[in-house]
Amino acid sequence: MDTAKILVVANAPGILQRVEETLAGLEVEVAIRLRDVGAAVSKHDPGLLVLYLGFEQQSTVELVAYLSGELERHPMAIVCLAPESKVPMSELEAQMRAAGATEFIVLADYPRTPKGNDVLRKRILSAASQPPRATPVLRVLRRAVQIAGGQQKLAAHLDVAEPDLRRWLAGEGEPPETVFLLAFDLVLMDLERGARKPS
Amino acid sequence: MSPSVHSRAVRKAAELIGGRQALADRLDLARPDIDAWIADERRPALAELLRIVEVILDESEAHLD
Repeated sequence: MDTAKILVVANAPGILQRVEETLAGLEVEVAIRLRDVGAAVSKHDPGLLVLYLGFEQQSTVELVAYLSGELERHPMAIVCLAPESKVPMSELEAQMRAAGATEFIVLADYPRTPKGNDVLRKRILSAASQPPRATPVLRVLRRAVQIAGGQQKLAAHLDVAEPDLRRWLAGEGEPPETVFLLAFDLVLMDLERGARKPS
Repeated sequence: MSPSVHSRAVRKAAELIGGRQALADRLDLARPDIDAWIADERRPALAELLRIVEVILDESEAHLD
């Protein structure tokens, strides 16, 4: 992993400096605005994206969700770096992971010392060896395929073209909300049926 | 009228993790919101629903292990 490109996205000079210090010796590119991230990903094709959570929260969640939908074209691990441990950090972590973040790290847990930086570096880089976490939408579609008995049957049930379903299953874009809800309803019904089965 | 998929999702998530309060705690949500969503008085936003869906997927997969 040490040879893969890393894209660091941060808007605070102190954080940028800390992350660059932590990842010293690796090929690091930097973006300081969320709106530059898409172009930077296309240009550098990083294997790892380190995103500091100092930007407006909803835009950051949307960016992570967008990048997760693009993993087929640009496979990469997404590591979110939170500035400090504060309530409701668990909500923020849940949102980021649901959007597709591979790892969520609270920066304040790692002292800015050579040892702290070394542990932080290992944790950031270990994310790159983890398979990217599928978004809930993708997980629902995958499970719905199993329940329906194949992609063709699910496409018919959802009343969508099979190539569209295949594309969504490959992580290229996401289905409309109504289609997702239909697929999720199938998953839910399966769970509800399971719960009613006699033991 | 049968409950919406949103209502059933919230109910199932609560059932899987040990109750409505446990779900509220896990996702940092307000308990009255959980109750209102289950009662179909309101619906969670898509972002909230996706977090609930993730709880259902995680918990039901864990139960299969």
